Amino acid sequence: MSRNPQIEAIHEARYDLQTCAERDKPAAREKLYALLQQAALRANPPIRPEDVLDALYEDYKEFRRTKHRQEWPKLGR
Amino acid sequence: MYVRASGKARVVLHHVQEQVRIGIMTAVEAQWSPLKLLILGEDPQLRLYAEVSVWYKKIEMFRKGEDQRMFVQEPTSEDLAVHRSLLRRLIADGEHLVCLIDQIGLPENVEAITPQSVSATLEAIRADYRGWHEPMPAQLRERILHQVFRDVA
Repeated sequence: MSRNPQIEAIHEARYDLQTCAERDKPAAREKLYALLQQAALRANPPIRPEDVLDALYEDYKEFRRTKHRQEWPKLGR
Repeated sequence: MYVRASGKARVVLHHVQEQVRIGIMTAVEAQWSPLKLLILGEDPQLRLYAEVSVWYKKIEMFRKGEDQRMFVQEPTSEDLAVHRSLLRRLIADGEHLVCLIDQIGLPENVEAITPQSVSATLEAIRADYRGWHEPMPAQLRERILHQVFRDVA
């Protein structure tokens, strides 16, 4: 799938929600769901934010793999 | 049936009687008190907080294992089966904890774990479960991605 800034922003927000400190979690969730809601409104008929999240999961796996590859050299330092 | 009270139960009983005597506890509360202690424990909120912390620790460990087995490499069918069963257990435990938090609340804590953050974590692992183990049919996925993001899929 080609890189799309909106998709990248959703993946980043999802990753943030998974990895952020507890105190930041409600805000991270709010940010992710705002992006999902915005995207869901573009579908016809309208869909749920969770549907966008689920539709993107395969791509999110790739995002996580890339993230891991980027972080691996940093850990080795 | 008469059951002899153990040492600890005698102490609790004496404590309850004392609280009734000085008017801190009503007679009805006194009747329930030993059962409350048995079922909820001495400090229910603190106990629940400890359970939530353990749940978070399990999720943290799970994420590390998930990274290695599911993301660094292509997962085997065995990886998928283990991942599925562990995630189901974490979700079930999370649902149970959310239910208890709803009943008795969480104490303030240094990690800033709140009912909202626990719910957000549970929601995130449920979404991961769907992503790995209940994937959206390809046709529906492509239709959604095409409608929502136009230039992709």
